[in-house]
Amino acid sequence: MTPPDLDLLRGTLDLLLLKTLSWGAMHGLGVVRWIEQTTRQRLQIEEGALYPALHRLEARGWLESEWGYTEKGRRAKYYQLTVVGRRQLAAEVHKWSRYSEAVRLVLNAEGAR
Amino acid sequence: MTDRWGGLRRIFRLPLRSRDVKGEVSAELQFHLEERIEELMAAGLSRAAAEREARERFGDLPVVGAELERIDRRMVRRRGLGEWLDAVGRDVRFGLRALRKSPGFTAVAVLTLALGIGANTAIFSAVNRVLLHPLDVPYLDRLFVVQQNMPGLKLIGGQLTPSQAEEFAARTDLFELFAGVSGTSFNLTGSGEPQRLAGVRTMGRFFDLFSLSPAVGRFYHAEDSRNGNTRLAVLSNGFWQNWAGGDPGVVGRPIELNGETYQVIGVLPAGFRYRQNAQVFVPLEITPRMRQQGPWMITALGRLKPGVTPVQLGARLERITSEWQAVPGKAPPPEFHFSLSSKSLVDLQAGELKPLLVLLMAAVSLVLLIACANVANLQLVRAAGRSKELAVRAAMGAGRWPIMRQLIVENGILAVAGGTFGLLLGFLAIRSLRSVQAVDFPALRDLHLDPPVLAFTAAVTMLAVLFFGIAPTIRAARTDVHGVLRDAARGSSAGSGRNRLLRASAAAQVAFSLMLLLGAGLLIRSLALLLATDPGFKPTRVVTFQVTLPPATYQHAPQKVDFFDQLTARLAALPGVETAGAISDLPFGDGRNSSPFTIEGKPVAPGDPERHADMRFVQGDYFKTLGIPLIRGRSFGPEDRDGSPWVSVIDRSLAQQYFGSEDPVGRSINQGPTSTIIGVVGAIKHGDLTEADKPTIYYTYRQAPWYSGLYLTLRTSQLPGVVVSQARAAVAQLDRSLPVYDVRLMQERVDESLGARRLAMMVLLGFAVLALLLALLGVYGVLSYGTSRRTHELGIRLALGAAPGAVVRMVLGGGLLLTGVGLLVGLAGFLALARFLSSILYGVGPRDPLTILVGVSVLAAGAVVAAWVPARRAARVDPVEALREE
Repeated sequence: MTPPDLDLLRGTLDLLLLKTLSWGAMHGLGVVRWIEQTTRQRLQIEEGALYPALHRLEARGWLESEWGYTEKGRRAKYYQLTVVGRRQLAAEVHKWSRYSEAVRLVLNAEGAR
Repeated sequence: MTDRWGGLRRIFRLPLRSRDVKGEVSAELQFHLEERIEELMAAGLSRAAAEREARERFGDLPVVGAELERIDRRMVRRRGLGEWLDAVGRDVRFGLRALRKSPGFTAVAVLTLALGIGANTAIFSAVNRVLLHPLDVPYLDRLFVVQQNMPGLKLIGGQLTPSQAEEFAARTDLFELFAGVSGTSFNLTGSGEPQRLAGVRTMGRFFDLFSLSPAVGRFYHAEDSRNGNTRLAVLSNGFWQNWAGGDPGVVGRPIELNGETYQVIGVLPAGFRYRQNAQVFVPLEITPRMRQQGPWMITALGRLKPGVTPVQLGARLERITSEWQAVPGKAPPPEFHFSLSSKSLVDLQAGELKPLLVLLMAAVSLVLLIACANVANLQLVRAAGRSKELAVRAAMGAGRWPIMRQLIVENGILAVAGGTFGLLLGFLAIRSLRSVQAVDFPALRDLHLDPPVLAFTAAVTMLAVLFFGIAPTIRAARTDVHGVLRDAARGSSAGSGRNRLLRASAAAQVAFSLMLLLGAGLLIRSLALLLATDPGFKPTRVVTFQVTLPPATYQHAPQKVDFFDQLTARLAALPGVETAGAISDLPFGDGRNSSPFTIEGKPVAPGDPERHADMRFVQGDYFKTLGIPLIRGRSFGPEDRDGSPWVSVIDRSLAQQYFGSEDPVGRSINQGPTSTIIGVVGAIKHGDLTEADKPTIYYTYRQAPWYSGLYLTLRTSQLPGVVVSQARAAVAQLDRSLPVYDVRLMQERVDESLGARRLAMMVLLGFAVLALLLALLGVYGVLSYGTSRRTHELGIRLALGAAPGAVVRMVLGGGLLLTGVGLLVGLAGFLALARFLSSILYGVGPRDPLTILVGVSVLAAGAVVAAWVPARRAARVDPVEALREE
């Protein structure tokens, strides 16, 4: 397994989780795998932080959870975006793009002199 | 590779409340680890290595697990509360909708509850003010008054002598704080119009006893008296505002009381009132002469030591009584059979209001019970109409609890509305009590909707919900789904169980209201008898007022005699005044004076009680002015003066009691001075229309000018207002510094002595009428409900040829049976409780047959009317309509 190229920026975990779950219900490990896969292993989720984040989002009402069975017949807890969560995701995405745009502007700026 | 889309089967979704947080967290993490281990093993790791790797990747498992549990628990708690609030909110919305759908029921129920709760609020505010928190004083429950009783003199609950009070002040075994208080009044002069001030002389630790701290300046203490510093005055807060405009600079200012100069040293805090009206507080000086044979003038107040119970106090007072009996000089002569007793300050101040308030509190409780029974009735009737709705809801899967909760919430809405309106009614009632009765009962002036009263109202409201809500709720929850739906389909009559409950509740209302009606009836009879009682004089058109001569300026007896001689002559000469006179102690006034006497030639037989008579001093045309008839001999004339032989006039009760058929005129009696009886006048009531006539001996003020103040009496044919201002002018012409005070019509004084009874009667009558109406409404409601449910059956009966008369008789009979049972129960209840009324009745026994007869008849007649309406309606049922209806 290759070491991850990027550390996860603080505060972006929530955004990633919301976005990931916007595709449909997933259990915790599924989320990890999906993010790692999608970022081509460049982004590795710290599992110890993932679960508290999922539970916090559920407590806030952005996610809801449900017990279900995996393909292999294992019992797992599935998370899913709520209507409020979907709205939150849109807001967070908007915020993130403004932020990254701002960062990009700074990085691309010509020297002052 | 993931099971993102597939494999998700919803299996269960537990309600949040019963979620097993710990189990779920561990299951979730367990799944994660196992899945990982499998994945790693698939990549070629051994089982042990895979486990190690998986755990390492995860991080600190127990810490994360604990955090997850914490987050979940908080969420569960918050959401549980939210869900509960949601459910209650839904119930409230539903309840409001249901109540809006039956506005008649809602209005009657809320109004009924409001009346019951309002009446309770108003009466409790009086109970709270008079009996529970009359003074805002710490340790109020430990404040007691020591009283002296001499049954031989009919003196019960009397005051102590100065030396007795000093004895108590010196003792430390009973009271931790002790004060002696003596009521007095002063002529305030030297600052504008002369005024009469109500005052109090105190000894001991009066101010400490009530835990007072001065608003301004300081209070006087025992040291002041020891230093001979007795001309000190503390002002009541109200008087300070009036007299000095609330100026703190009043401290140190002189104030002229009875012609003597006192120094103002302090002001009492606002809100403290002793005897409601005392304006000036000065130290009580006990002179050696007072110590020797002082008058009974001191109210002895003490705060019980912690740990001493009232019962122990009583026992110790008995011991002190026997100790004092053994020491001559400390107690009155042994033949007086004196004894000491105690009474709590609260009870003493409540006085005649106490039995009254207890009675009224009992009465309003009955009113509330009736109101609750009525609302319960209404609900049962309404529930019958809704039983189909409830049964359908039950059949659709609503459990018993949600249905009960729904009804409880509905009851809660009714109660809150009833309580709110009740509070409003109570507030209005309190305001009118305050304004109407403030003159007679100063204690009622301070009625407020304060926190204790509000708490009481809230408690009463909750109790009411319990009373009126429980039966309908339980009944609704027991609804038998199949039975109701089947019954409804067939249109048959309501279950008999509900009918029994309804009838019992209506009968209970009849019973309670009979009790109230009879209580009110007895009070009305008492009052009527009292009003018919002849006081022995004619109080109409008599103006009375007091004038008191300050001893400093009127030191010598002839000055006093001269003054009152001139005053009565001037008053009698006023236009519109027929006659004028004066007396030392006016009937229905404040004071009275009683002494033993002997009759020459008629010694007291051994073993007989000593002879005792009231002593009165008369000036001018007093008997004629008051309308007291002269029965034998003559009244006082100008020839009876200082230096001429002492004469007296006795009243008829003394003549009858001690002279029988003999002629008392010319006989000689001794009551201190020896005098010759010159006439007999009619007996009069002195302070209370209920009391027995007390032997009285009248002297002329000219021969015995012992009093410095007299009550002036004027019989007038003019408007009292005009006469009073002329009388004031006449007094001012003689002495500008004398205040004219306590100006009242004689009739007012007599009426006010009935104030408590009158108030009790009015209020109780109001409650009784209210209860009667509610009970009749109850009877009416139950019967018309019964007939409306039986429309179908009645239709069949009528179609089969039943005479309308028979139907009327059937319904009427049912109503009368119910009323009869209620009357019997109410009568039994009343007879059992009636003896508690004895203390406030006059002339009638608590089981007066006439009152009972009238009360029962009124209720029975009302019930016939209440039953007649639905009975008529039942007879008019159109059989065709009735049968088609289903």
